[in-house]
Amino acid sequence: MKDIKIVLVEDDEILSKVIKEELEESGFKVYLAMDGEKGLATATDKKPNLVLLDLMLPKMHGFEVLENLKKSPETDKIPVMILTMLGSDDDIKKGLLLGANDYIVKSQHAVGEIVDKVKEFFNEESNPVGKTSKKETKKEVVEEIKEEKKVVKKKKK
Amino acid sequence: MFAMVIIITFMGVLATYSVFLYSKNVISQNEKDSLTTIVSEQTQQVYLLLEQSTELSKIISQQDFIVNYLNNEEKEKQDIDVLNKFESYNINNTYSSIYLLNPDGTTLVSTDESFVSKNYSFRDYFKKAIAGENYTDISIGVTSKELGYYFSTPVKDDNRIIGVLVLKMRPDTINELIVNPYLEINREKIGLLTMIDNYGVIFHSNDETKLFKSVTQLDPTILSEIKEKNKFADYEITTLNYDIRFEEIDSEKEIFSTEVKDKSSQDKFILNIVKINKYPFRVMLVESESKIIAEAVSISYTLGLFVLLAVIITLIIVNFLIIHFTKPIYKLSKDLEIIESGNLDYKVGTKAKDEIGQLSRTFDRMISAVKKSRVEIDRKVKEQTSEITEKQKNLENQQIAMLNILEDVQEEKDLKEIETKKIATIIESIGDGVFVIDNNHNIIVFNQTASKISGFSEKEALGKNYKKILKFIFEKDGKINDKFIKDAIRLGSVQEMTNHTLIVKKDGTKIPVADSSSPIKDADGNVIGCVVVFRDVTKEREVDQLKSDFVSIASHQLRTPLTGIRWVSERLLKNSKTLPKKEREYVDDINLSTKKLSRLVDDLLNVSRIEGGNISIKPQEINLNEFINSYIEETRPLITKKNIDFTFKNELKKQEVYTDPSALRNIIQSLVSNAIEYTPQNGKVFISLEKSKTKGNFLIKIKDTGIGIPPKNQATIFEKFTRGDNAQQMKTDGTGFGLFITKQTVEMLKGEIRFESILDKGTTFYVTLPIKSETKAGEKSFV
Repeated sequence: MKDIKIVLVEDDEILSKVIKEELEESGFKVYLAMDGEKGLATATDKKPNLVLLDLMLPKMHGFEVLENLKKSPETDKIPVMILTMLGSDDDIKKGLLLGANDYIVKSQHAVGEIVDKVKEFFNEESNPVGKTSKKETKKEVVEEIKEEKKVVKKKKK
Repeated sequence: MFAMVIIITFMGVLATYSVFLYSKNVISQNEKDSLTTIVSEQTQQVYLLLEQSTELSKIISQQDFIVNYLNNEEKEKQDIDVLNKFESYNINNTYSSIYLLNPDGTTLVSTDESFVSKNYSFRDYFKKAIAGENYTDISIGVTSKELGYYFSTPVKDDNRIIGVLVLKMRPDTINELIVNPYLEINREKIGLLTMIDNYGVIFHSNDETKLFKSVTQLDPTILSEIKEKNKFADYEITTLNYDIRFEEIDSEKEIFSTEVKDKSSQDKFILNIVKINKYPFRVMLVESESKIIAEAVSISYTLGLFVLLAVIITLIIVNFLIIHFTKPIYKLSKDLEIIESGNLDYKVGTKAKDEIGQLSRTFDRMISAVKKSRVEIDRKVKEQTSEITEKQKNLENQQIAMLNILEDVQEEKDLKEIETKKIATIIESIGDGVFVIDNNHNIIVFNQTASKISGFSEKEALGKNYKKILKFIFEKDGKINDKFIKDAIRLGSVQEMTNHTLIVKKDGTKIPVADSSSPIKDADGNVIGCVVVFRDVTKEREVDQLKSDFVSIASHQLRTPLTGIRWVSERLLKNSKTLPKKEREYVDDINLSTKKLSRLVDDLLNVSRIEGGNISIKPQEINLNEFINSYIEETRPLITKKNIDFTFKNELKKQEVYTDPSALRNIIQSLVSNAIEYTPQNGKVFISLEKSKTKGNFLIKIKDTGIGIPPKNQATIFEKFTRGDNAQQMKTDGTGFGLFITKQTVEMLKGEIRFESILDKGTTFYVTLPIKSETKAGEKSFV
């Protein structure tokens, strides 16, 4: 666990502080970036195992950061989780289409839940975990969008 | 008048003269004719006698004894027999002698001895007879020295002429015929009545002086001829000296008249000559023209005089009449002229008893009547004039009144005009587009703003069907969206334009518009047109967009610190072992407040989205069972905490519905959490899915044994900012938006929500939702 590097791109001081602390307490190594530009640079630099990406960022919007990450071969394989304040379908869909692996709605979850999700993510990577009913619907959406992505990719080709 | 006298006189004279002439002619002609007739008659008589004689001669000549005698050579003895025979005929009264001539012309036998042995071969009567012809001759006898008629007949013996028989007649018989008693009477008129021979010598005449005169001038050769024939012995044949030639009188005509003039005296005579058939004699009547005319004239004169007299008398009468009648009439007319000139008092009448007098008296009466009537007329005129003056006054008054009324009317009109102008100005200046259509959908009012928004000028728009000018379409599909206009007319009530209506401008660009249509009704309530008000809502939309963007951003911004507070509080609580109890309580309170605030922000965001009309419905296939169960699991902690007896019953056969998941989640969450939170400890909550009574829908029933909704709150419980009065005691962080949002959501899915509630007993919510929801476009989804 201690090897896992996470880049956290979040502009709110307090929120970023709390998430960082929680994650570090869970044993993750966290690099913090407070704006999009810095986030991109840090991710490119540190090549983390996960990027937690807020959308509303100064200097560069989260989507733009995501695009850039996915563009560059150095960073395109890094998994990204979008942190959004609103559970807007459009934002989520867009994010997932751009290449994010998952999304978390900050306002709906306690910080602990977020940490759990991250843990889950890494556990899933190594061992596929049974789905929980809570996340089912969301998972379905994710699957759907992944399908769409493939279709879109095929179309683009 | 004078002219008439002249005329009458003239005509009278003319009449007289004509009468005179006419009568003269008639009379003289008459006279001539009668004389001619007479002569003819007499001639006839003469002829008969001559015929008779000729016949006698013929008969005698044919006697056998004569033939025998003549054939017999010995004549002496038989002379006496023949003579006796001749004498036995006893014709001495009429005939003077009978004698027989031998072919030489010598008298063989004769009753007159003097003739015997005398030769008369020189005589025409012998010459003719010996040639075989009966002949009558007139001459003075050589022997007898008297005038006589000789009727000779050839004696034939088998066509051989052997002698001539002669019958001599005295002229007296014929004389008597010529001059008979009848003629005696008319002697005066007759003039000369004669017999003439074939030379025109007179051998009979009623005037002896004229005997042996020839009618015409005879040639000396003829005179010597006559002399030779010894017809008239020694008489000298002189002429009557008429200016006529023998050829002219030697006519074959039986009767013929001719006018002659005496060469010496120049007197006019009329010769009437009548031929005696076969005989070389003619009867001649000579009339004196002058005598006849004189007689006629005298008669005519008398006649003429009578006529003239008549004329004169007439003239006198006429004159009398003229004097008697025309003068007074003339005077009358002169009098009338005086009256005519205006003097109605002048009297015309006379005392005369005749017609004129009557007439003039009548005139007078008439004049006085006229005068009277004039007076009457004057009076009437005065009356009428005063009436008219009065009427005129009335009319004037009326006119004034009319003018006043007209002024008032005009004022009203002006006011109306001002009003109309005002209204027109108002309409023009209304910031919204206004147009009015009639029942035929033709534009009759079209204000400036309407023109601005649509791009069509007022001129282009007026009178045309509105569909050509104002094209309202659905934003989504571009289809015509003018139902609101049609409904206004059809239903007679105000209709609102649906959202997302665009108008296509003249140049083709599309502008979002909003507002409403209202029917125009007449006094009887019939729809006669429609007023449509619309406005360009592009700005509004922009504002809305800004608003929702703002709300979005604001809520987003609000959430960040709220989340921060929550998370920090969480961490505090995590490390609660180190925190004193009181501090821990405070942190809990912070958490609670934060949660409430959070929820409030969420609700506000939802409300703003709902009200913005911008929320999308994106139906998906959802398994109801799974959906609800999943939610139940999420709420499990709270259910356990409050020890709620929670049941979920699914009566639906088919689980799949096609609806928007976030909307459904919202509804379920809101109602179920309410049910749990407002039910006290150990209460019951019961969800069931059932078949709806209405086709195509399904029913969600959520029942609790909670505190219920107070009756006075039930009417308004679905409104914003409303909570039941008793709600506070169970849930402290209710926002007052929950049911509002739920209801809006249900209605957005085209469903229905209602409830039944009894205070302190419980509440049951019934939500009917379509099994298949329609997609709704929108930019946002539920929070």
